[in-house]
Amino acid sequence: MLDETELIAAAQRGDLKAFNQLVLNYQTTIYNIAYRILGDGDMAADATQEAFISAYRAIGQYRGESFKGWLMRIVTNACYDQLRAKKRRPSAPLEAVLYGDPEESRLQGERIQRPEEYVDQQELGELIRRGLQTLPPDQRAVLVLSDIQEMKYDEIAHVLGIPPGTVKSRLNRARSKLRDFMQAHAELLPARYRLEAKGGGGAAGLADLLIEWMGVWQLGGW
Amino acid sequence: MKKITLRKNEHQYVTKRLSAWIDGTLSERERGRVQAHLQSCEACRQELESLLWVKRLLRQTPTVPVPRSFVLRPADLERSSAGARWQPPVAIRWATAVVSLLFVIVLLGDLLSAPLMTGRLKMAAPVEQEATMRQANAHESEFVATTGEVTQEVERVQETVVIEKEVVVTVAVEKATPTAAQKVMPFSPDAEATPTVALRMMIPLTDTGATVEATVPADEQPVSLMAVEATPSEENLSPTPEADSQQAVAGPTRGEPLPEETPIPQTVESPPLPARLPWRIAELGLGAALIILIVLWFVMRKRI
Repeated sequence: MLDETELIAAAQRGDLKAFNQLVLNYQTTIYNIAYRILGDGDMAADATQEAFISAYRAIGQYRGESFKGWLMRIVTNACYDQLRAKKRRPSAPLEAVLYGDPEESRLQGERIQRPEEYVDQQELGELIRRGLQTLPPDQRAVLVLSDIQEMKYDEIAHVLGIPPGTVKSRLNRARSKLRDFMQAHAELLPARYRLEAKGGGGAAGLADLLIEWMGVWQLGGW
Repeated sequence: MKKITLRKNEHQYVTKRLSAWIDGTLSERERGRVQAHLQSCEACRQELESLLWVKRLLRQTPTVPVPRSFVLRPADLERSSAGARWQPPVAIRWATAVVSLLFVIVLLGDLLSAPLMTGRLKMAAPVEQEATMRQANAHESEFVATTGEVTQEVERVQETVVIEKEVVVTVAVEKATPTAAQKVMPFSPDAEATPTVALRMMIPLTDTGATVEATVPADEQPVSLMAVEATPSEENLSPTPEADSQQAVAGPTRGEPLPEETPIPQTVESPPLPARLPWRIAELGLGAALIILIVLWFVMRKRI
């Protein structure tokens, strides 16, 4: 099994099989980005297909940066093309039949999910999907790359071709907007995901949250 | 460092930075200021909490499995999809189209509006000096002879000068054997008569053309007109090509010697550069914009 660099080199020499191995490695990630930006399975599939075709045609221009980042740029452009060209109504999201292995679900990791958890998660996913659709596409893209794909600001800036300052401001606005949506539809959110005050609320509650998030931050004496 | 800051500004300052604070991308100084504010502001704490909550939710977004395999088959590649070809952003495409169009329009406008300066001046036939002689050649000139004087008229045949209201007509009148006593009188009464063989005069331009008169004192010597040249009055401020070897003319009515071999000027020069400047500026500006846009196309293409 060739490593990624070798696969890319082979693909640059025109080896379609090598490229297809890269497709297999990245298709879930790329499809998910498209799905979260577009909110529709069919459009996401089209965008993913277009993205990989573009990538194969343009692989000669790939210059050794992050390959994942490079693919992400291509797929976000493909998504913007889709949004411009087509105005389709989003199909019912739970039509998507499960084909892939459970192992492909990156976020679940090795944990065995209980059925209720699975259902809850699907409901969360659906609400997030709807919430994301209320954002303008450029805010949506930043939010997806940052909070779902967990990319850093400068990586996102490079993928989207915008300054890091713009990433920061778009992200801020996107999160606020999605937060407003989620709070407005809190009744649709499974209980485990709802925002509730931890501990006594206020500074103490915040401290708990921070500890949970940051882990290593020193909070004493602020 | 300012100790006292307006509450409202501080609020805005912090609110704008909460997301970045969550992501740990604030500078040390910003972080300190945000944390100090959070200590005392319940509203901002709640805002922060809700943003943290959203980030956490998104982190748990389920991964959707692929509906099918996206491996490429040769057939997929043959099918030429317009989306696969990279295109620059719409704004750049529009800008390029608009600038190109403007550039073409400006170029055409420049070409079409340039006046055709082909005023033609006829050479007058030599004048025979005779007290009562009347005309030799009806086509080219009319000679009016009066007692003691020969007045020669030269008429401009064709004129398409549209810009200048006056022209300078240089009339060369040569006497067969000029001597100091034989002076050529310039048209303008207050001009100095000099023993020169040429005069430059500012002549007003009318609808039918310009008429110049030169009065040559009558004597035994025949007078012949050597060359006539009409140029727009502006040209008179700088030496004409033919007059390069001479000193600049201080006033339009002062006569000055022509070089020995004066070519017969057939055409009048087009207006000097300053009059065409707006066109040049427009062409340069649009050309530069076009070049910048083309460079942008290439740069953006490379970055894919």
